[in-house]
Amino acid sequence: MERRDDIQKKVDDRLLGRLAPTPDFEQELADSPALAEALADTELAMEAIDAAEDMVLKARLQKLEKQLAGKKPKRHLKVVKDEKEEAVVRPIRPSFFKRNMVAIAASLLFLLSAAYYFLMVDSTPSTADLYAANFEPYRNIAVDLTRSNDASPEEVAFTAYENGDYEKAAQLLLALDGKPAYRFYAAQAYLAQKNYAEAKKILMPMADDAAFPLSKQANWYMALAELGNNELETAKARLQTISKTGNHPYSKVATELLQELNK
Amino acid sequence: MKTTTDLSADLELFNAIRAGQHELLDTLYQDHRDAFIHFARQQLGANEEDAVDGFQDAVIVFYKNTVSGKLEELSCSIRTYLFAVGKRIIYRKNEQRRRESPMDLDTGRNPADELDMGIFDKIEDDHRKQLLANGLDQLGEPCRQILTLFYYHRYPIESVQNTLGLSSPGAVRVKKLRCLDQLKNILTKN
Repeated sequence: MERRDDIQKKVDDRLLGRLAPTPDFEQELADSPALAEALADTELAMEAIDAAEDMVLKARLQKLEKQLAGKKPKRHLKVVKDEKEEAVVRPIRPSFFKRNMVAIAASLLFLLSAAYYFLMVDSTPSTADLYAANFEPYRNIAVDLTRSNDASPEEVAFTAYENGDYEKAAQLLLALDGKPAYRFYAAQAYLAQKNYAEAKKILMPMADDAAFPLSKQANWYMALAELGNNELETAKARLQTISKTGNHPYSKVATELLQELNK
Repeated sequence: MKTTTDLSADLELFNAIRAGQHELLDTLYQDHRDAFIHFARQQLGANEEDAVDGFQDAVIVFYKNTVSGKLEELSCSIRTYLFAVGKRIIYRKNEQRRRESPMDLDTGRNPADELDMGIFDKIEDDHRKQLLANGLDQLGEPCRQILTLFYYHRYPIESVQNTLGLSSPGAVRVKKLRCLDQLKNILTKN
């Protein structure tokens, strides 16, 4: 059976004009309900995206129009001679290159990215991709941060955490008084740095400790650490357990991740 | 008359927009707006409102045809292209205004005979578009950005990744699939 990402890539290529309609594709469409469904769903989604973004673009041009209304752009003038050698005054229009040098450089970068995409694209998500798609550092619910000059060590540590300075956050959180909650966030900081081994060391006992208030969360992050560490079967087993636990806050997303891993 | 330099500048602009620099539309808009409004009012008999509205729609058509590849290469100047598209839009607007103008009730004609069913189709179409657009509005970020960059602005996955600071192209593909599922669920409910 064809993988979902492969089907979607085929549909995208077709709808974005990268794949010309061929009798083979039409036949495949007739034979594969999954392909036909993905095509119909993506067409509808593109219609919605088109409708919404046309409105966004229109609103942007209307805003620009308002800014221009009643305000003639100032242009520098220069004296030039026409064919009859008579002096006439014309506005100087800065060259396109001068006006848009940064944009052109960015475009070149974009084109290189595009070339890379078309040459190197591999539609199969790796475990690293799935880890990256699923990992989000757990939000700080441990310490309320206030703006003050005499911040406590906890506040300094969690400020680093919230600012995404995970290296500093991990050090500071581990240097606190060893409360399990602080260590849980230190594990998050390690995960954010893709230091799976250190994250696992911290999360393992928490995931098994039902008395720890964030044990379910620790279990989910433990599965992600295993996934990041390429321990695929262990991660799957843990995700199965999470998926089957009815009231688990991550059961839905664990089921989705399992489906993606089993494709 | 456009010089070679102007045309090569147009080509650079066209390539830059096709490569993802959609903010350059502002430059394009400012460069051709006055000339088009003048042309539409003088030559096509459009009022100011229709001329501005038609020019904006022409810019949108130019953008969409450029990024989608329908406009594969620039065989004329951007101004010529915008004027050609804009002219058709203005003709349609003029036609619509003519049909919407009040009828002389003393002539004895049955107004129902002259109803333009196209207007109803347009209203229905606008309504459908609004419903679909509402569906996208219900999507949170970064889903909306991912789908918009990929399907509307036609960014390759690599560029979506770079623009949104995501960790890998594979992660973008996984997220994109999930976002499509979410959008499908929203649209089905609507």
